[in-house]
Amino acid sequence: MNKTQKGALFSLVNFLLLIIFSIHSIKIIRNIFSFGGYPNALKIVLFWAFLIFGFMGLSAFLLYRKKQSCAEVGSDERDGLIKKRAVLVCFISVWILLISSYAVLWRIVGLDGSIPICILPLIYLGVFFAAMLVYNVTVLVQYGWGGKDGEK
Amino acid sequence: MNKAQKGAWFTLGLAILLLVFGIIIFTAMFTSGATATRLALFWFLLILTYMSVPIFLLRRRQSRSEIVVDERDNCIRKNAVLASFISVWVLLFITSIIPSYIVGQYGSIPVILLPIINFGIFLIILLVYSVAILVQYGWGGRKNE
Repeated sequence: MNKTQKGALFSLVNFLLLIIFSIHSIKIIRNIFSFGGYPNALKIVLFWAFLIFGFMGLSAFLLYRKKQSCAEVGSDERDGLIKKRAVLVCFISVWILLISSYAVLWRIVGLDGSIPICILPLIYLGVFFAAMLVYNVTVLVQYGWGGKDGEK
Repeated sequence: MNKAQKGAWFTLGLAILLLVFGIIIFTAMFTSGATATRLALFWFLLILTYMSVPIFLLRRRQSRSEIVVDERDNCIRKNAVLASFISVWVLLFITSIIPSYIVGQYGSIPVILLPIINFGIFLIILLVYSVAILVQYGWGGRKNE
């Protein structure tokens, strides 16, 4: 596995964890702002946040330290091309995801409905996480899911 | 000018025309009278006429030996996509902040407005994409030098 593949795999796992964390914490955060409150909510959110960021730091340290070979270069033309193609796929997926999220909103609140302003950044954050997943999967697919030397 | 540059100039013009059209439509929604409607109709016809430009623009070749697309063109396009991709996130970030200043932190936004806002973002992205291509070609000097 070369550096780009390691990076893609690392981001894929971490963004998956972040999505799970976000879904899990929606309920807890809603409880924090509710009238009765939820005494342990903040502790649970912080525990998950430390767990994810700890995992991120540890996996990055272990992944990037080990080189494929002594002569391994940081990035070459092919890597650049693969990344740029992945950006193109990701760019298209952002628009598809945005349109899909509006379709879901229309379905939930109706055409004449409205949503709280604070939901808007959360929608964009969700789209960002999903787009990053698409980016990393595209990079890994182009390398053939990480065979030896990134070849298939 | 090669094919990619001609395309970028055309897209730039189209994006500007559509942005102005959007502004006209938006103002027509809040003002009464036939002037705004007539202006919107005129602008719509102008856009339709402009759409026929590529027939003449793309037909004329730079030289007999001009190739349709080469590696450098691909690289330039991919860099432009990267610039557009970054600007999408910047614009989405801005559009998630501005409404909270207009209607307040506890306000709400009609769902019907969201695709309209994103269509505006899409037009700005078209502008960014075209400008990024033209900048990389040096705004279309002879033989792109």
